[in-house]
Amino acid sequence: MTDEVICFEANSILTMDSEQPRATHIATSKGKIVAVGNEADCRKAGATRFLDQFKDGFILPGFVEAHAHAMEGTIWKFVYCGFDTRTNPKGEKVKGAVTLNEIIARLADKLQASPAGERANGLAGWGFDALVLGHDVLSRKDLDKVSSEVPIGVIHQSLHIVTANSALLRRIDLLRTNICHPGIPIASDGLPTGELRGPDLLSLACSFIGLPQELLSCDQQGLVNFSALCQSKGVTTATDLANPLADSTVEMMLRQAETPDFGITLISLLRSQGLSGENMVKRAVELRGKSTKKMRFGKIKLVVDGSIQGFTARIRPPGYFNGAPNGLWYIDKKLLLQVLVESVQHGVQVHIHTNGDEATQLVVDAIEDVMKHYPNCLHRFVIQHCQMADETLLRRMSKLGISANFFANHLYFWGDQHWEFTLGPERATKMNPCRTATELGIEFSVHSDAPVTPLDPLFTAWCAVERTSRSGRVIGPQETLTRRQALRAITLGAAYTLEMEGEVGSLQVGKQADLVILDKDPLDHHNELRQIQVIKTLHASQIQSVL
Amino acid sequence: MRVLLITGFLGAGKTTFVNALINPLRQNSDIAVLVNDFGEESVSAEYGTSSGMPVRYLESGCICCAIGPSLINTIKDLLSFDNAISTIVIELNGIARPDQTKQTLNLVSEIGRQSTCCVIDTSDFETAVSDQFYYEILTHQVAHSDFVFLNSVNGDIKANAGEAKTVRRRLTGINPRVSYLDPLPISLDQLFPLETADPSRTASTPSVFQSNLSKTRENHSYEGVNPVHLNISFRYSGTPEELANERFWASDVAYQLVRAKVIAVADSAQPQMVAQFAGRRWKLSDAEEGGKQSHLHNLARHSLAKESLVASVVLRGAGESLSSQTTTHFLEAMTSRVLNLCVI
Repeated sequence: MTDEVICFEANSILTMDSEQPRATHIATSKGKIVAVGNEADCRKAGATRFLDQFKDGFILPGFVEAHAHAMEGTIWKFVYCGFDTRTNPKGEKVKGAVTLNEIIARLADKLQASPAGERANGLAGWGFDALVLGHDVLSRKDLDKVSSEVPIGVIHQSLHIVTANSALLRRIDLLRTNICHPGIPIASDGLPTGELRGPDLLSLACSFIGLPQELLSCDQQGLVNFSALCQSKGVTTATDLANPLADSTVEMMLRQAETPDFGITLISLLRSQGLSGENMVKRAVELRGKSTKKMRFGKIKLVVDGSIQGFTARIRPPGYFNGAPNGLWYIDKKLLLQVLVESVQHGVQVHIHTNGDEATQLVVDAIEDVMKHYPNCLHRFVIQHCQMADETLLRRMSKLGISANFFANHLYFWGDQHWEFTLGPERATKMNPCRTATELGIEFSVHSDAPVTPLDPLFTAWCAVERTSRSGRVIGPQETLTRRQALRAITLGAAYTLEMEGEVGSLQVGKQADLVILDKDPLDHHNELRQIQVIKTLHASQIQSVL
Repeated sequence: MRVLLITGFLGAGKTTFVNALINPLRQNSDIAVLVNDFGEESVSAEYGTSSGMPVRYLESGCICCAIGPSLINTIKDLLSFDNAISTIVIELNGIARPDQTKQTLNLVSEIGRQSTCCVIDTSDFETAVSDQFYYEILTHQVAHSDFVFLNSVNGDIKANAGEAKTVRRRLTGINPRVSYLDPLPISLDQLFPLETADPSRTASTPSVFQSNLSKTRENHSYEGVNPVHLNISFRYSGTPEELANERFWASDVAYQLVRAKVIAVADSAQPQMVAQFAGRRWKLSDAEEGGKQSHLHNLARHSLAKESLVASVVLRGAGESLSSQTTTHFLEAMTSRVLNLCVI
């Protein structure tokens, strides 16, 4: 790394530092920021190299995606069957497949292109959005048109359902009548429609379409892709929020992070089932010791309930708007408490997934309980998604010092479904309550949960500002953020949830020189946030690459 | 091949129970153990350490979290490893719903009989049932168990006979058909009693129900939801009064019930009593009240099975698929005392 002090000039620099919100020049040395201000300030800090290639652009701190999964990089190996246009790791826009025929054609093309010898390994598609196109749009018989011999499975956008063709069903012994299982809908001919719902059936099917689960925890190529995708969207700090983190995975990640092309700081959280609270925290502490500059470990992820659109989230009375039964608990309350108690004693941060309000309440109750016994602990608990927290819960979270990471993208992608089916209008408008959280002083971020929705912080910020659904409905205008607040959520707010606000998230002297250069001013109301382009993403480790 | 599911809360003593059950059989090569517990890793690791008994740790999860192999894959893997296996003991985690596991196991053709045993710690019982989180899980576990093993982690079960009695009384309210196991030692075969003439134990919702669903569904909206109309015939081990008093009317499944009408068919094949339900309210009356002869009365009169009940049930649902799931869930809650459930 060069000792040279490099100065970048921009049309404007949005620092996210409240004491100096705007600047025109920023100087960096050895991956750190040494000056922010005007040209003279940078000169005083020893800048000798002045670069003006971004002088028309707008520099912001590199974005922080505080809830994504590195498997976003892996899943592009399979055929994209989603409804929306999405950016692949090469930075190319891949058009959505908006009709059944397009999905079939894409799968058929891929099958045609694959060597005959490999076809028996099956074919996988992903991203099919049954909530937009309808569940009855894709069936076993439709996929049989692609092939009746090669096992084919299309994973839905929710990542909890797969539609199988006859060959795949036959392979897993489910192409028969007299099946009675809530996860296997039956067609009028008495045979399964092809849809297989729930983790157990999904993992059964996926092993026959070249998609073993280990692969999805993250492979090397996936990590390369993930880093590239982050860079194309301005992200310099990213998370891999739930990984079993076997020793071999950890080694691979550490190796990969050392390569010069790896242009992000990645935080991978331990998600382990089968460990007691004590052992889980012990493992996290052990992993923490392996952290490097670009690859961080030592945090824990817990999952308390399922998803709202999948009707597996735990929600309080009166329950789901359409009368569906309440969802599922994914963790035992005792284990949750064990982990929390152990974590505060060892300074291990725990991120807790809750979607429904009953689940969020359970977590807030548990943390309150822990705080009674350890009132002086410096915990940094984060509730992930936290989509249905009401004002009462948010007040308690504020008092307990719990941060949140709201799923703003949901408002666009599934806002209409929440309005019409899952929660009804009143509760839908209160989802992902960013403004209430701001008013209560809660530190928070907004996220994509990629690959559940596309990784693109500017789009996520747009969702938090506009709260507009796919159909154009504004969902809860009382909860919209200002642009500045939304940009803070994808930078400094997100950094706070990762205990990294002292390192990244704003452009201040001493912080890491992670920069994103945009083509337009994101605070100018003439520019739609989601239309703004990323010109360049510079992770601190890659600053000299522009020379 | 037969499967024994062990359910019960974290810390209830499931592992100790399983160890006691399989210890005398350690030399048998035809038994395998699957462990799906979150908490007491060190204890569960006791299994099979001193013998060749295959033990697998099952970490169920979802694809987006990339956790673990599926239950079916693990069982198939076990069988390919050793096809002589005749019994699999599965220790479920503390929050697992045995009904869901049973449905998944039903998909494996090699599996014959299934039996479920719930391990309950009586010393912790009152605390557990006063907590909504645990009460709901307990209800599911007990309602779908064939056996209950009462345990006292913090004391001697024999010394606390009164405590055990109270627990049994409460559990009977949840599942009157459950059998209580004596204190250890217990043989594995005890948990697989020979089939009696009563086939209800293994009867889950019959598949005929799913395929008929579309025919019986009407497409008008009720309170903003699409209701599912079902006519079902079933034998019930109690009286209509007991049916009306059943726990499930007061449980969360009752929320899905828009209305139901149940007619009892006596020996004479004449409808005797009508029980009407609307949400959580119910009313019993004579069948001939008002002299109205509905389609349901005719169905009841022509019902082949004597001493059966015929019901018209309207459940909340939305869309075909969800209805099927909702209805299965509802009917499952009934099956502890409902025999021979059939959609007509």
